[in-house]
Amino acid sequence: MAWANVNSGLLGIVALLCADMAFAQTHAPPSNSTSPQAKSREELDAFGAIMEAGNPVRTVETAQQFLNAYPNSEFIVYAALAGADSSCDLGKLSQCAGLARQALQANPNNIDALLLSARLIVAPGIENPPKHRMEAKTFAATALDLLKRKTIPTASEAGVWLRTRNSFEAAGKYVLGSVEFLDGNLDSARVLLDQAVALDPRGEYLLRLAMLCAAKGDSGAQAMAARAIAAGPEWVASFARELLRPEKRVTNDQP
Amino acid sequence: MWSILARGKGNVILASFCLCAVSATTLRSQDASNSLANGVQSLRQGRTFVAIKALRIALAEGNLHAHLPLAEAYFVLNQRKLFKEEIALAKAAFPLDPEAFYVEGRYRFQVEKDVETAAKQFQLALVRSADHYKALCYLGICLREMRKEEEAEPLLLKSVQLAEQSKSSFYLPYQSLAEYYLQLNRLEEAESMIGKAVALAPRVAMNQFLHGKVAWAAKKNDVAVVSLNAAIKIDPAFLQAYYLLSRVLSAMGDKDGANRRLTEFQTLKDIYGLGQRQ
Repeated sequence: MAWANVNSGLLGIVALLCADMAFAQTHAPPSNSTSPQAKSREELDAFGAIMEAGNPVRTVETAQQFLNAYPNSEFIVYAALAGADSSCDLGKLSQCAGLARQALQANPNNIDALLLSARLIVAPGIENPPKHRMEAKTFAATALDLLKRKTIPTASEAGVWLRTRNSFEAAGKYVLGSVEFLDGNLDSARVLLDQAVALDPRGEYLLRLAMLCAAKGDSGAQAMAARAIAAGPEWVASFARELLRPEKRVTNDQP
Repeated sequence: MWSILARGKGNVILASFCLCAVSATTLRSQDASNSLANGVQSLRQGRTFVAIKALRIALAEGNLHAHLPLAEAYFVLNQRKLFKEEIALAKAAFPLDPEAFYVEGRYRFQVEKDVETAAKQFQLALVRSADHYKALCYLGICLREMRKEEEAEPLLLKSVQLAEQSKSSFYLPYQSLAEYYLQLNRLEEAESMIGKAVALAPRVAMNQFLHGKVAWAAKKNDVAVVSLNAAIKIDPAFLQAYYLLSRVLSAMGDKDGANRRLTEFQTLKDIYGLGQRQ
């Protein structure tokens, strides 16, 4: 479940890479003529190993192998993102942050890299002073702006595109909502976080909403925390369980 | 999983080779053939990286037939350098086979948008097999792009004829001819061609859209509404269908329906953009 959620961003990679109608009966141009190019068969095979890894642990391993073996590859951003997504899924947030930074260095305008970096800055348990919050807000706003200019590739299935787009938009709203929350603007935070959860009910977003409800003394906090636990992944569930304990109050500290 | 099995087989083959050269040779060719079959199957299923792995094993096992599907896999992944290397190897391995020339034509046309080079590749495919109805169709489409529509029409018609003879579901020449006849306002011929395309592939949004467009031109508004709704149902991102449907509904006096579709068009434009659909 969590694996499927976290890797929704990878759908974007597929859309980017594929001259997707290549062997369909059509004469439309391919989706993207500026796709990353492998310099050798071995490089593409190594990238394929990440895409075919099948589980988060293996994805992180193959991504790191790729990044070490092909530091100048045009696939760097996608390999780093695949590894970062999986690290996040495994709750290894510092590893995730390192890989996200690598992806963002490779392409400062990559929507997925911007959003993942922003999510990590505002993640529960991470110290996030106002300067960092501002950076997260800038990343999210930039990503949402870039997203507006994206067009569905010719042969991409509308539903897949919509899910990917919604997942990006939700991440952006979540970051903006979290910054509002951390700045103490609970009402505007609520609007943004509700929008994020409506677009993509990811555990991380539900947890933030539960934290917001708890901060407002809203009776919905427990139900929201229970939804976050059910949605996972485990690091999110762990924070949410803390929230359910009456003697504890999760703010933005480690449980 | 598959690669583990393949490696396992490789060890068995090696052991067999030590014991008995004849049976090892048989096993080796079977294994190469399996790698090729698995690679092609994975490619058709959209598991492109798995396909590449299998096809590279088939090549390592000496099966030169793997060059062409491997080139196709690189085409699917938009890997320009690797595609060019692999298609050259496919042509060198089987110079009389039209398929590699056809695939290169598709690549030149779709990826490089080099219509003239693509046309030459389709011609080379046709030199090797005059009955290659897909090469004929694409050569016709290239000629239409080059504004040589009068030369294109007989090629597309021949492609239709050959595809019908081989009972193929290849609908593209019908679609292309329907577009051409619609441009010339030869509506009966356009209706006939797009009707056949829809019969062959009703789940293709472009076929339904063109069917609606031809019906609209022929003032068969009820038919147009059905076809355009079908296009939208198949592909909710087919924005031209929403727009045309709003025009058809407006012409039929259904102002509410027309406004609804126009609003959807405006809203969805922000979500999907105005990219080309198929």
